[in-house]
Amino acid sequence: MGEQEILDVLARVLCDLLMDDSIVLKMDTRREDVPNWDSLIYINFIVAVEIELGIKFKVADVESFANVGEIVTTIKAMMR
Amino acid sequence: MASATLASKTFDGDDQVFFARLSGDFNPMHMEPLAARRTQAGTAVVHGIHAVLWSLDRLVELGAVTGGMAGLKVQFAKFIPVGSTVHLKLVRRDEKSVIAELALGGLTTTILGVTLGTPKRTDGIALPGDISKTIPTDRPAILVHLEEAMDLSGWIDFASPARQVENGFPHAAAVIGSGRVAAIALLSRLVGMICPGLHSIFAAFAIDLIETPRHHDGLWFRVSGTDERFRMVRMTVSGAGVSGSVQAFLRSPPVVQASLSDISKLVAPTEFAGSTALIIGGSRGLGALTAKVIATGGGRVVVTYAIGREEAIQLAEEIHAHIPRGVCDVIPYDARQDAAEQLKTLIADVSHLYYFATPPITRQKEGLFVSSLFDEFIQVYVKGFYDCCRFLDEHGSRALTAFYPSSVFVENNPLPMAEYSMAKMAGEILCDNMNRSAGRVHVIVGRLPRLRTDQTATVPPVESGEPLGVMLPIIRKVQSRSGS
Repeated sequence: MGEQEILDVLARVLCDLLMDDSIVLKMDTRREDVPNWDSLIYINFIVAVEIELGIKFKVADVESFANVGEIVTTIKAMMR
Repeated sequence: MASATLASKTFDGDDQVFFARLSGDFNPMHMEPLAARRTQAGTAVVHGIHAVLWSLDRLVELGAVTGGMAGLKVQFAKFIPVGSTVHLKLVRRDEKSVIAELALGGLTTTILGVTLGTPKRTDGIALPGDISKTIPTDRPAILVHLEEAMDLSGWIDFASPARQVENGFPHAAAVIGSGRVAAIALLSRLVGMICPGLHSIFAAFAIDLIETPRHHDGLWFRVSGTDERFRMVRMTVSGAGVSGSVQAFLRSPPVVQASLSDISKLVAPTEFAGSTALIIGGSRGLGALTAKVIATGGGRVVVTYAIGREEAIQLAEEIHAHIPRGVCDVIPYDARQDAAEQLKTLIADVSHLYYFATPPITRQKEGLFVSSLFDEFIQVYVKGFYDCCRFLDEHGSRALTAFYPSSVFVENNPLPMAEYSMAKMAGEILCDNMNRSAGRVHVIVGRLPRLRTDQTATVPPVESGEPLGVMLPIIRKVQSRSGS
């Protein structure tokens, strides 16, 4: 999967969780840039992405992602 | 993203009792303020499902949901403390769905998505599982461990008759039927009392409304997955005209500090003899640990509590029962109130002060800086500390050594903790000035790392240090300056 495809999956999952189709994710988007993307919903998001893509993040990675780009990069590496 | 407020409600203690009876969810997090204080919320909170059903009732009453419903999806984002006022806002409505949210002080606590339409016909869908495997209604909240959750399943009967549910949420019941309202209410009992039970946090649910050939007055549940990393439990539910999924977290139980027996292996029985330590905020957490350490070392301790009287008394009883000649007195003290008035009856001649008074440090807030929150922290961490030291200095015969627990957050400055970090830094400046003045009070400041206490037990779990290992060297350093 390319970066844009992964980005599209992340955006779709987040729009679904937050019930807001207007959310646009970019590589430099941070959690605080998206209204309501709080810690509990972040965990729900991570788990939903894992189920969607058939991957499993390390907890340390989940805690350290500074922006969406870092999630995309990690997923890309996991799917190689 | 929300539009104007449709309706507002303040959930009070009567609401808590009403919904606990209706749903069967008597989890202490909702019903017992003292126990709730030791949860991640730090205070008693509204049943999330109560807020959802109230919202649904208003959405129907006010005409935002008309015709019929095919499904309901909810994400819980933040706690709603009992006594606070939430505002229901309509975010979006089209021919297929209604999106609404509950807001508290500008923050979204709950997001609701209603799918408009009619319940699905489900002739081909299997009926709920074995209803003979019924969970008894009269047992207290279960303490489920994650490893045993995977095998859980069962049938839960309605906690209240349908007409009682109908009285509580008449508009919602008129559209989806009282049985389905009762089934949604029962989700609260499922999560709060059964799985994950006692130490749970409801995260989300999504249900389809279905037409089943048989309508049982209850709900079947089965755990469909668990995730150790995030202490998460996923379940499927069906029955009483609904079918769907539930997500919940298993939060950390209240933190138990080191026992007197553990401490006695590290502290000599006369190590702190002759000292009298006043421990402000000593009923639990680092304050209670400090009291145990000093008492184990032969020092006299006076612990204060603001809310946790029972915990403080239990601590004193534990010290008196296990330490020969141990002395632990208990007094009430609120760091936001006048120090002199509260300490005037203090008989002990205090040589050491440990100041652990703190309001809840992690708050739900809107924006980068909330001045009222900063004021609250300053009141406790700066003014409260100074006033306490001044009183002890003026009324004691001994020089006073005080410990001021600052935080590594002063250095790390985490974005959501700005007010806390700023107030602790202000406290450090005060301590420095006190040490440079000619008074008899000497203050030792320690920037504590994140330690394992009730206040730092979060979902998802964050690594925290072991309190005794960090506090013991600090206590030894503070006690080594003996008052004379």
